[in-house]
Amino acid sequence: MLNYAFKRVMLGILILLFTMMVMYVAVYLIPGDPAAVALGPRATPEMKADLLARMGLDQPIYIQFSSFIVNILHGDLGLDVWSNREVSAIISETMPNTMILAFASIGWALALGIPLGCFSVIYRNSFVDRIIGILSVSFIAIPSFVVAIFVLLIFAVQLRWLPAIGAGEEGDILSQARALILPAFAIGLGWVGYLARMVRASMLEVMGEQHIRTARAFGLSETRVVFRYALAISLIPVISLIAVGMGGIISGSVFAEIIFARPGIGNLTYNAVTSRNYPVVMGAVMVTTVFYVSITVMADLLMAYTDPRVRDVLK
Amino acid sequence: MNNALEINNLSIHYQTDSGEVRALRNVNLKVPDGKVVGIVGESGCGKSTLMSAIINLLSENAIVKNGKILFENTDILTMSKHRLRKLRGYDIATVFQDPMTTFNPVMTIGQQLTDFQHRFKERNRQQKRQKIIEMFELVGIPDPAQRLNQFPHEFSGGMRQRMAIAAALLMNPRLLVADEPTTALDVTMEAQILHLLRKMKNDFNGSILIITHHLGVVAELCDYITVMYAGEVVEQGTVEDIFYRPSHPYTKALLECDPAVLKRKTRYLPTIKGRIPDLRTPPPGCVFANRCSKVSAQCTQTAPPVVDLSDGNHWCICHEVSK
Amino acid sequence: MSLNSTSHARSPLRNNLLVNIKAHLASIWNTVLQISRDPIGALGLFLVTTIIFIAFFADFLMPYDPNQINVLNRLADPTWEHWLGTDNLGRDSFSRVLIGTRVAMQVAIVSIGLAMVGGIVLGLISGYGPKWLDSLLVLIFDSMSSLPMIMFAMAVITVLGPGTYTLIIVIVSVSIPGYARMIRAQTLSLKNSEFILAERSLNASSGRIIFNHLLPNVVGSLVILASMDMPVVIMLEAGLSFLGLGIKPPDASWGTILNDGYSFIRDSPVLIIAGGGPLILATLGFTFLGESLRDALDPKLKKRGSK
Repeated sequence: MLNYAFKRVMLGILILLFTMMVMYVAVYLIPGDPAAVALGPRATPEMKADLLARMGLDQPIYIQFSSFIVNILHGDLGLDVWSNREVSAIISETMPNTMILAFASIGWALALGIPLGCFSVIYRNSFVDRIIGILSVSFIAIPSFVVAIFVLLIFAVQLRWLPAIGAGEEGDILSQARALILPAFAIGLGWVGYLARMVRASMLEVMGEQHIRTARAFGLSETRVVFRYALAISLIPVISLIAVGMGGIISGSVFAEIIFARPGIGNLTYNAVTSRNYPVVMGAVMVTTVFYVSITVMADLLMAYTDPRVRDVLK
Repeated sequence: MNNALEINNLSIHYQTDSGEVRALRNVNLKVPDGKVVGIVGESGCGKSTLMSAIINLLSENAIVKNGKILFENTDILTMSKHRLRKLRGYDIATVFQDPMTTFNPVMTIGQQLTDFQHRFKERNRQQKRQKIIEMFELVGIPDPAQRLNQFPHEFSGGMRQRMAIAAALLMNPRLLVADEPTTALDVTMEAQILHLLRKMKNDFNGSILIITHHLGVVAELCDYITVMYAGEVVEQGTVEDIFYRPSHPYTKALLECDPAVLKRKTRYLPTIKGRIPDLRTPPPGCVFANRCSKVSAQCTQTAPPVVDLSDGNHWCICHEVSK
Repeated sequence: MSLNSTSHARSPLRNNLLVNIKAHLASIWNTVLQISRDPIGALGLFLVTTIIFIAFFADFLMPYDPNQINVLNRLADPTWEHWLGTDNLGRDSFSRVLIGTRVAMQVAIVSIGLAMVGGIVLGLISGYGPKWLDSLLVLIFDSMSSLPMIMFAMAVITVLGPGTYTLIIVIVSVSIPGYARMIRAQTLSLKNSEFILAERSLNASSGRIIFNHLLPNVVGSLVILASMDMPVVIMLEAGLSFLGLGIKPPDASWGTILNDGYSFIRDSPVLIIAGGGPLILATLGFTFLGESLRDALDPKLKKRGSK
């Protein structure tokens, strides 16, 4: 187990390092003069030199990269080009908002998607199964940002039931929760479909196993067989799916945050991209990548841990 | 005498990509109350299909062509879902073939066997566990109270099979169906299990249907024996009939191949030459014709007649015997 | 055959080719029939053919110039003159949706085509090339998929600046690993199969093996993968254009129409419906078609799903 965990973590770190390096080189190789691009045509040479120095772009690339990595290890992600604030401070301010949104989205998707998948299996090849199947595919197909715009239009602008923008009043849990409903719905909807399908497919596989036949041969009801005997095993592959899907959740959050004007890492990155604020973009992409890679690594370890068979093999 | 189970003219086919496999053809079988019936045959003869049919758990590509399986005069194959659930694990208990995969890998043995007793509303959780412990002691599982909280993979194959039998016995069923129940056990354990099954027969007045390829098991335990070959019953009779007066050439060949009945020392164990015919296109004549040592022209062309050898208790289907 | 048929080499070959093409057309037609028997597949097929038809004939179907500004008639509701109303600059939304359909299809088809070619090449290099190169490529593919797609897109756009070409580069780079992984897996499994070893022992070149055995084997999977990719790619284009990071205004795209609608969400819902409706229909249509196509081309998968 330890050996496996070590290997998995090392691979995660390798992927992170590689991604960082490619991004760093890419930013370095920007066609033209990055300072000129960022500042526009009317910038004076002094302004450019100042900006370059602030971005640390006036030194050879390998020095830049190594100091960049060393700084990251110290938790230093550089300075915001425009406001001169620490990027790490800005990110740690906005990150919680995004996390709450992401977990709320995945949470309601799990709460609905897993039972839907189970009912699909209980009533397999029937009308119910078919309807759940078509709904799932449709939920997956419709882009989450379109869902976001439409629910904004219907529930916030037309019906005025829920707030259209922001993350709610600070300190007021109820208003924060109300502000969370629409974006979390938009992001989670596709996941309801994904989870229903995944649980269905994975569970049908499990339902073919011998121990399910034993449970049935002892007269347990199909509902009980599905929820008690098949579900736990079927969820093992779903764990890794959720982790891999975190990438999609983050992408969804970017759109939802922009559309609902919610403070968060997505909104931050978007504004940094449009204002060519490289350190912020770098920092935000890096933090989300670290977050994402560590979630997938944790999911793999968790998956190995939940399955007692795998757990024993790995011991 | 009443029959715990009666199978009439059962034919079951499987729908596959390469055509319809006729897994069972016109099977007739009776399991009298309190008796032990053994079904003997090599792998692929339809034993397992028969077993799945008895508890109506056939795979979804199986088609019941015709026939009935009667339990207390009700056809199991057309039973309501509700009645079926009472049938399974209460009236009929089953022990499956592969002990490695019988139990759910992520639940403890105790959880599962407690669940299996869901029909016994009068037992509370503690009593259900107590029952399991008693049964485990009966089937020879050491330290049963501790082992209830362990997962299936922490047991050996033999132990798991003993637990599977214990699970079936917990139900105190009218009919116990066991699919190769002793295959995975060593010789001493096998003897114990056979003893257990016999004891159960005597104490509870339950019937037992044992499916096996092991002739020793049927000789030890059974009152009646049904010999199956390639989806058909080829001979049926009491244990004495089959062992001392076998009529069908397949039964004879099967007995000759059993290492336990070999009379002389030999370098090679005897085998039956040839293979089971393709069940997508079973031969028009006798199914055993291509492997039979006494085959005649008639055997390959027309279906063999049923030959009654003793008032309907002992019969076989064979052209050669009918002469 | 190559020994004694030199003099008649051309005609049997040509016959073979004809027979082959006929057989292929017949099997394609059968697949289409099979899809249209499934109600969901038929709906997908209908939506996709309509969308492709519109994309082809947008020029003839458009009642107005999609970029014709008319400030006197801004944000108008649908009328007989303007079926989907007008946008914030008084441009005819219906015409903009039609031309947006063409843009969406162009971007999607070009990107998927490039991603497919790139994926095949990289997959073959990975499967056939030296071990270290294979490991490096696999690491790159893994890294690509460990970045959230939109974060990667924004990072690339920061570097290259927004625009149609950047958009295509982004879409191609996020799609390539999928194709490359599949080709690599096929190559590796084929490499050690018996008939390839037999071919090799007959001195067949790698090129011959690739064109005669590998590619015909993966055509089905490639088509399925591409059709499953379509909705994702359409969504990426519209999404990035919506953010102003893809197709640049004033050019019409479903995403830019949605953006205009979003900016004036309190004034009129029509623009949002005009931009969002076709986008939803397109992603649904391609998804339904893709699912149905997968079931038709890969019966094994279907059986596993509906056991």
